[in-house]
Amino acid sequence: MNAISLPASSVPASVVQTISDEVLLDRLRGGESAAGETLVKRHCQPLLRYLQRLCGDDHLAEEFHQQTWLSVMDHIDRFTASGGGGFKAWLFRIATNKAHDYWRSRGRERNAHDGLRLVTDDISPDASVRLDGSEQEQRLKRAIEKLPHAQREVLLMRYYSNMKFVDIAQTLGCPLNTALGRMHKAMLKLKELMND
Amino acid sequence: MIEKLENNEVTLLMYLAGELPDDDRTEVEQMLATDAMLRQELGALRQLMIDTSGIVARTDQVSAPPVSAGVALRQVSRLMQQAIVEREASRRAEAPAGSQKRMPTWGYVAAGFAVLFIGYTAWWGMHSDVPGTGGGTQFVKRVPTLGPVYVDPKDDAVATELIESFESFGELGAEGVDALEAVESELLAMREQTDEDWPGFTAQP
Repeated sequence: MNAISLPASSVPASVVQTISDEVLLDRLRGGESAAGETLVKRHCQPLLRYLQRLCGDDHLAEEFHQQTWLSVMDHIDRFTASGGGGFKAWLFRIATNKAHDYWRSRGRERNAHDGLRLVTDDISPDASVRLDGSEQEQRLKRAIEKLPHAQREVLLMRYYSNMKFVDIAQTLGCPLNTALGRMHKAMLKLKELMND
Repeated sequence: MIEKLENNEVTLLMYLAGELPDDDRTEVEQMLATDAMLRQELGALRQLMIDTSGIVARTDQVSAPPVSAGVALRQVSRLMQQAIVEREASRRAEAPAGSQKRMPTWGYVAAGFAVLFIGYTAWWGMHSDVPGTGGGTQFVKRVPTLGPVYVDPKDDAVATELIESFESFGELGAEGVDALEAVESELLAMREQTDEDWPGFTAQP
């Protein structure tokens, strides 16, 4: 998939899609900012949504999103395609670590077994939430937020990044069977919450 | 039984995700072919995955993202541009000394020749014939305080002038006087050699 050598900005959108993330990253490494913009366009929406659902806070999600891409630039030379999952997995791994670092630094408590929500200082309703949100919207959001953190993390990572379970397990630092078990429980719990 | 079911769910989840190794996948398919309950379990799990995806997708449909894609792109692009500039500056700063501009090799050779030329010219200036004097042996006695003194034994005017110049240097000091005396001795010797009279020049007793 390395046949195309034109700058990303001069290539039609339909063709840009065929340029792999790794090729774009290589160009970005060489200083081609257009390649970086293509990568951002390609991944920013699922990444933002992932962070939004993971953190439950839009401002945090926005902040972590920028920090994630900044980390990509800082560590761009370290990425190798031979590592598990390709660029997208690496991106989501960085994003997850950003969230984890933040929670560790704030000393937040999480209780995956009780299904408690992440305890935050800014637990008040997010100003970005539309006041006229439908009941369904609220129900859906709350269902996801009510999942135990560990289960929510696996489910969201799988859904938004489409990472392999083995890569998810590696990112979260747990055994593969544990990651799979959390995924299964998350799905059952989510269905149960939606049926309530 | 529960343990078996739990293990099945994990395995079936991997099977549905297409992430089982080939051997394991083959084994599961063989089991599915003969186990109706397992097939039912697989179906339920497949539906659960579809339902879950649907729930998450609907959540995204009914709620706005933290920021629009355009805003996110602008935010990140700015950061990327800055990072690219810093990265390039860092690369230049770390460039090895050998890669910096140096004088070309021929420059060093030319400089060497220039030094040799200047040295030779200086040496030639100190040891060469004085032009316009008709040739002949030139005697040069370097007086420390007066510099080189060119004396042509056949040119009386020059000798006279020099002697008069020496006499006018009343404050040469001991070193200067010694040097003058040495020159005087030389002149006498030269006159003896040439066997000629030098008007105005007489040796002091």
